[in-house]
Amino acid sequence: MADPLLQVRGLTKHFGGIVANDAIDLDVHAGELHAVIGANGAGKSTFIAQLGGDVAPDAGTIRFLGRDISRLPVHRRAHLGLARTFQTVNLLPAFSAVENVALALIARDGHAFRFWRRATDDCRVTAEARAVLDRVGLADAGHRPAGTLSHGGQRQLEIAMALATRPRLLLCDEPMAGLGLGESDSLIALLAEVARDIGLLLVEHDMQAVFALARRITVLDRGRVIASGPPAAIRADAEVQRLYLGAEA
Amino acid sequence: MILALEQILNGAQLGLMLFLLAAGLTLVFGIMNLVNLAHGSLYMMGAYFAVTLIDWTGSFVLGALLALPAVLLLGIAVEVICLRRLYARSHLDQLLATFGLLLFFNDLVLVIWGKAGRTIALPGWLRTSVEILPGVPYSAYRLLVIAAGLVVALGLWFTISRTRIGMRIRAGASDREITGALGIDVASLFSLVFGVGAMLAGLAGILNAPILTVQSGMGERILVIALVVTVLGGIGSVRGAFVAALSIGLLDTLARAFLPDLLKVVLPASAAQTAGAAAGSMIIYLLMVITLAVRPQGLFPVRAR
Amino acid sequence: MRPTPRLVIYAALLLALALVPLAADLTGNRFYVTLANRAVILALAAISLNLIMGYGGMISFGHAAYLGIGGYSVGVLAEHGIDNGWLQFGLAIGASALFAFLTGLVALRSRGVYFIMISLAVAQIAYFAAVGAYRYGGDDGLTIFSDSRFVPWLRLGDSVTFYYLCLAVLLVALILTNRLVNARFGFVLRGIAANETRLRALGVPVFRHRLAAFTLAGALCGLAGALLANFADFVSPSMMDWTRSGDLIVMVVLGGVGTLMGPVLGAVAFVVLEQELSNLMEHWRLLFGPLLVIVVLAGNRGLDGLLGGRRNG
Repeated sequence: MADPLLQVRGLTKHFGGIVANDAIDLDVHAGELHAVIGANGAGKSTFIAQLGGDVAPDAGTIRFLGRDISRLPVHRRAHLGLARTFQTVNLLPAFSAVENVALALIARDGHAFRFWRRATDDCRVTAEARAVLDRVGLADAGHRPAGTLSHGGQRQLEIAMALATRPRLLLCDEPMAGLGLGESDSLIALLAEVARDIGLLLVEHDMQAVFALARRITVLDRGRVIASGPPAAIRADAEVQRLYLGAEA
Repeated sequence: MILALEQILNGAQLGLMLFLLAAGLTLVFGIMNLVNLAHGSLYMMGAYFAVTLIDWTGSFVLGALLALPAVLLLGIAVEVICLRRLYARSHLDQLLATFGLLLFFNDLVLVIWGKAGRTIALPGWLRTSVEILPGVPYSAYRLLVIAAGLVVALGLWFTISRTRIGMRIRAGASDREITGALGIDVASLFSLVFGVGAMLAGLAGILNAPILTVQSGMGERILVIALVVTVLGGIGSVRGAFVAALSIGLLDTLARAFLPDLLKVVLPASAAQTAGAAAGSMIIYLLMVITLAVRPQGLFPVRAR
Repeated sequence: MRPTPRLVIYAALLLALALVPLAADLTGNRFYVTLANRAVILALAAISLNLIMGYGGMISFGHAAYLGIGGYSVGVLAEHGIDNGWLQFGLAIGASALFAFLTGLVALRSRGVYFIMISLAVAQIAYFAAVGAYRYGGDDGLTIFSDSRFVPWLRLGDSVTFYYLCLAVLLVALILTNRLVNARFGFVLRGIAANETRLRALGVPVFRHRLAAFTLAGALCGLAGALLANFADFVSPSMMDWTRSGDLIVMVVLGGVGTLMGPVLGAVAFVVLEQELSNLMEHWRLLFGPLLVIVVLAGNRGLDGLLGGRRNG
């Protein structure tokens, strides 16, 4: 098998006396959708925060494309091709959908030290922004301020912004949260399509979505990995059933 | 050595006055999330109230004591009329509105009390000096100010750490939502906290009135230093404000007292005086910039913000 | 572009500013030029503050320091007999930019109130540095006996010439600002102000963009300070008093935060209000202070907001 896109080894984080992440190992390969599940407080948010670069690990390494990124600042990770969406919708509500995506496209260039030409006159940028919006199903909403989109639309825009950076790996932190049934279905389809080309790490509460989408599932409990494998194996895992699925089902 | 002791006492006195201002600032900051540039105006109003009330009553002690509830009421009035509408607003809005209040109060005192600065004459028994060490006299009034400052600081510590109301205030300073959830009447609590903070600032003004000239704008320089103290101590932390206030008071006083002498080694006397005093004033700001560069949340952070 | 009421009013404002010397001549009241000149220079400083505060979301409470640094650059060189304008203004812009850059290096690691307080503390340091500069008058300030010289035909000592120079600088600054905030740099800067976390996650080096904007604003305000020194023929530490920084914030917010013409409108309104209210009553701040409170409580969209729905920029 080819080298994984993302290779996490022994990732550990303490907050005071609490061990939020305890020696987590995890791989994500290109073209693979890997889901991380676990109850509230299992350490999913801390895990994502360490991958994204918001929180510095106490021990362990995060290798991305073969390179150790454990200590890189957030924007450098983004540059290498690590994109993310946030647990709570995190957009620029006063900017239009096209502008939100355009910012992501400009960010891809590394800096924006261009002081004269109007950013929105740049045809390449606006055209590409519209193309990305089209891909996530927001073709008609380009001119609308992001804050006025429906909740589902804002979730789609989140993903559009992440995709616009042309990531190699996408971290999605509970993208289904707060979505209606129809909205989740279209988002599931979108994520499935996205995961064909790049790696996708999905943290999600919606078990139906997880088992429908994921090729591998890792289960966290109190900061530790208690199981990791294909959906069928996870479903069958006794400890997972006792700890997690049993409680919910 | 004698000079040093005197300057240390002066520094402690400035530190305690700064604490009286910073205590209110840090609580209002921490609990209501309000940046209040008009806090120095309350200090100034305390001094002016003292001028008038001492005049009316003919007694220094009575006048000074009556000025306290006057500032308390003024503080509550300002909170109810204006500031409570600003708690949920951006810092920019808060800066602008409280800057407006500051301008208002500066001209208000000119209208009421006139342009000329006012002074307060101390009663005879306070105009004496006390021998703090054999052969070292020190102003009795300044000693009284230090004692008063310490008593208030102790009282404030006791109130906040040992009483029910203090517990609520601490809850508010660390988590505003919790205060609401505990079913505490938040609006009255805020008014009370603001009023008491105003009263403490007023007390500093009252105590300083006989030492300084009471004039419009007198609150501005000390306000900036008190803001430094508040930020250095960690916003919302009364203990941090105390430590920072005393350190800043001592540092500022000692630097301004001794830097000119040090500079006389390399500069002519008058130049050393100017440059030394200015460098002395600069030091506390340098300290603040350096501290915040290393510890961006102050010395005693109450919570992440 | 169809002329909106806003556009018409702003064009009229600029035209009115251009006609002030004529009006002063006709009415025989030279004082109008002085008043308008002060407004124009302050507008330049307010534009610079608005660049970081309005578009960049960085509330600097020490912006008057750059006025002082620009002013002292002119004053100190003049004191040493150097009245070459290129040198003086070059130093003013360079020194302000450097000071802003160094300030930014420290301050921009903080957020919110901590940022406000560091910018205030740094400005206080500059203030006391001027107070301690005994060679240059210390607290009493420094009188400037010769105007900056650029080319023989441009005499800054002539009040009308100087006024038109300032107005021209203001127009250029407005055009540059308009390009800047709509170019990629300004677009990203506004994006950072709106949602810093998001922009960082997209890969934007937030600190670098903020620092660049902060430095640029410092340079522009230093230029305003150099003009102010030529205007008053005097510099003193009081130019850098923290309440002066407060005045600049007032102008920006009064005019409309994050709008192109807001700072100009705010500076003109500030100077006119100051003048008119102080004619009306000696203690004009008794009215002006509560006015600020009302502006804030009424929703704080500034004068620009009164001109109708759209927020430009």
